[in-house]
Amino acid sequence: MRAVRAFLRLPAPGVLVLAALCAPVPACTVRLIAEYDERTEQEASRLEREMDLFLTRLSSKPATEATYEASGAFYDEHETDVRALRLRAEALPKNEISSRQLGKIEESVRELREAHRGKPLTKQAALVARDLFNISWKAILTLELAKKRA
Amino acid sequence: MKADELGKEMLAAAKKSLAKDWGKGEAYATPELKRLATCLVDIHALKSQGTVDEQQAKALLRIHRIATESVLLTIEGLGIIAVENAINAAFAAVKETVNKAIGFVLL
Repeated sequence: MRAVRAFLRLPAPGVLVLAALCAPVPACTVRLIAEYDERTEQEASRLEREMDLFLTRLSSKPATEATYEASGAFYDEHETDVRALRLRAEALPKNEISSRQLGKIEESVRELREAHRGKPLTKQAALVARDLFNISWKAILTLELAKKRA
Repeated sequence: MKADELGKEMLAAAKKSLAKDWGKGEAYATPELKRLATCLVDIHALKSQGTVDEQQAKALLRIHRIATESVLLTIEGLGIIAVENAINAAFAAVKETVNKAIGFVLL
């Protein structure tokens, strides 16, 4: 085998492995996770702020005014925007983690909506929900910013 | 080109890169997990005080579980980026030696 390799002037197997790893990218940069996406960062920041504002306002209203009926339009729009961002994330290569996280946010919005539909959210419940949504959005933003690979 | 020397150089570069990135992951994870623990205590208190009914307490717990999963996914992602950085650092450490030895730009 060594003789054939020498005859054909082939590089050693180790070099071939390196070549295979580097083949798809110039200057040999290995990519195991998606590239940073500016749109995801901007949209995630906007949606985080939108949910924070919604729950902050809800927490400052008397229980009689914090009804689901007054918030239905918000849920429709917010859920649609999160879904659009998740679909975009799914279209980006090697972006499974961010896509799953956005799918989870969608699930959280549906959970909140169902809980709210049952009865008005109390101030304390709205504040706990706000903290939890902020933790989820921060997780998404932290990963997206880490993809910048400074 | 000696495999032993190349291996040592690659390992040293990878270790240095991983040590740097591990700190970043830990700095993110520690406060977030504490925050999640606080939220769990808050949900328990809300239910005990009767501030939320069973349905809302369950919904908050499910949102809590989802937030926890999201934090863990970020930790996983940061780990993948750390591995990616370590691989690239290892290649970069031997780039010149390898390219020179094989006579074309491979790395």
